[in-house]
Amino acid sequence: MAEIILKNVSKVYDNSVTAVRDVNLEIKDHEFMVLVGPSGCGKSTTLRMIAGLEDISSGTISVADKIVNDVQPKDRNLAMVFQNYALYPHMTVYENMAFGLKLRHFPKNEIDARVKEAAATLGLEPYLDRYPKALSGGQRQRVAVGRAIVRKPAAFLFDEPLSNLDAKMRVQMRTEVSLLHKKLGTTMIYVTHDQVEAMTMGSRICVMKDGEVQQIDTPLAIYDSPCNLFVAGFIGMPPMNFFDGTVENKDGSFFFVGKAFSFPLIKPEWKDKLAAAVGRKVVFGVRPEDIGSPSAMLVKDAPTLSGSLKVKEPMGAETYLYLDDTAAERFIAKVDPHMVAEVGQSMTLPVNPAKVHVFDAESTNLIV
Amino acid sequence: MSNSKTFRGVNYHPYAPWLFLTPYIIIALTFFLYPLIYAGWLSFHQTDGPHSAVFVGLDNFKFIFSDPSFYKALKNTTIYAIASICIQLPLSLGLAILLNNSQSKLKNLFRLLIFSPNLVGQIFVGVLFSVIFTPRYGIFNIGIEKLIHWGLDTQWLSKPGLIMPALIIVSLWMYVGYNMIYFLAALQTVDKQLVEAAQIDGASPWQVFLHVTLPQIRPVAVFVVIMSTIGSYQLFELPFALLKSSFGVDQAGLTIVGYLYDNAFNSGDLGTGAAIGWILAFIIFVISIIQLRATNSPEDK
Repeated sequence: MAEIILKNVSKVYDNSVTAVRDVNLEIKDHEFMVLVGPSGCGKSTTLRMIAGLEDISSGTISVADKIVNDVQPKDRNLAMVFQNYALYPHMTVYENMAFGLKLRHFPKNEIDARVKEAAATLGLEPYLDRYPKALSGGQRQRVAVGRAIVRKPAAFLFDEPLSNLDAKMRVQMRTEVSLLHKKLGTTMIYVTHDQVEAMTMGSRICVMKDGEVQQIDTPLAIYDSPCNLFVAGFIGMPPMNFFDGTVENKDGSFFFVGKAFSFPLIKPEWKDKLAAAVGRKVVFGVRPEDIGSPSAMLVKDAPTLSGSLKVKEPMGAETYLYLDDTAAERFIAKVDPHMVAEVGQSMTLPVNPAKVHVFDAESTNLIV
Repeated sequence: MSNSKTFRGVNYHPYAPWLFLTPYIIIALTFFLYPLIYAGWLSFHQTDGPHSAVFVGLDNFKFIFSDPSFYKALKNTTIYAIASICIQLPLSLGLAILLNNSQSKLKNLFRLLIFSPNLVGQIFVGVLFSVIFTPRYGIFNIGIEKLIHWGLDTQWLSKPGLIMPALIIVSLWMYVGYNMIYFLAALQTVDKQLVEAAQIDGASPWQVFLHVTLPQIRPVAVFVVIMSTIGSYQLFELPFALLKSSFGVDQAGLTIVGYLYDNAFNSGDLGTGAAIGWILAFIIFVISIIQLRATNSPEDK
């Protein structure tokens, strides 16, 4: 059980490429922190620095109030689960899980008890005598998790542990890891490029891009008020729709004025910020589920977006409509699957005006 | 083309594969299978030429197994083989690990330098080292004198007790780099994540080597051990060039192939020579089987 604190952590490689820049991150005890971002954003490097597998170029990392910059990985009391499982191929499932305990000279009966307990938790009991190559991907990843939990470490580090699994197994393991966190209560740091994993698993999410932290918050807070264009576009599936334009003040009411439409920005608390943005280039953002969706339909006198329907993707529970507005700006609406819509048809869909965002086009930061 | 066959969409004449195989088949029959069978036949005959073979039954084998020189050759060769495996291979592996972990830009140069003695033939190396081992003036003698203040006047090639050590030293120089290349190639295939997983599991560098690296390179290590053993038992040119056809004082440098050469070509007894060849093949076969069995890994069962 431990807090993990990163202060001004940077990683610069010998060829002077900066992989991680000035990361400040405070992971609380018992927390499930997800580092998410596109490949090359520095999330894995950050995790590897916490694990001790990469040197820290500057800044400090502390685990349980102790600075661990110069502490060997084996002495940090952390356990890690790797993307390709990294099971020892010449050891049985049992031996794989017992290895870390053996190295730490645990008594035999203690090792046995812990391995059996982990095997029971993970449903691995029938496979203890097998070698990794005789296991499926999901089973292998369970063994990798088992190897981590028998150690009862201060924190678990996961490096894209589900990426090598097929879609169905990924969803199943996602739930299992979440349940495991609930059961053990141990601090977990989880690296993924999959924003669905980040949203569903994290107590908090740290979104990274180009080696820098963009935003750290709870999944819903990040979803509802992304701090910049990158986060807004990265979190959410299908991604948020963006339109270029300006903010204008018409008789005290603010509007986003784009190429094809103008849209009222109605929330009273936005006024000051919008006033400061008048005349500046902005990006208007609205999520697909706020266009033409059942909830948007319920909004009284909702403003609308219009476009001609290009592609229709029925997902079962909902349908994605790909529309082009009159300025040929493509946007996506997530609508009720039973909505009548024919490709080629012009549609006017209500938009929930309380859920839209405006970003500064230059700094990309959120205005409202 | 009614009688043509098809392989992956390509039509071919049914005899075409045989045409391509013919050169190999001819060479293999002429230079491998025929001599092998002929040597087997020869080992039961006494002969000093192609037209004078007399059937002698097992006499050739009886002679060999009652000849003290054979046991001397067997002992020498076995000592040499054990030294190859116990001294040379760990050194090769050590050098490979050093090079594999090195960040130096000179890495490739060192790899080439350590490997290069192998590019020289054994005969040439023998001639070279007969000079290098010269008492008082040879650079090896001068070198160890400077290092450990001993050995300037050591007569490596005329003292029976020093001849095998000398052969082992020369073969170290020749083959350490050769086997290192195998180990280096194997080390480069070791999964880095396994090493990292072991580090996090709490393994020291030595434990990582023992529990992760070594099992990972095991197939190559087994191969290298077996090939080195076979190569060691076939040792001939080096002592021949270094010690001339007497194989040193008291036959201290006599190997099994040297013994074969001595019988077949110095004494002119080709039948005995063929019998020794078959005995050697049998020894190598048995040792290889034992090594394969001993190094069988549990996960392959």
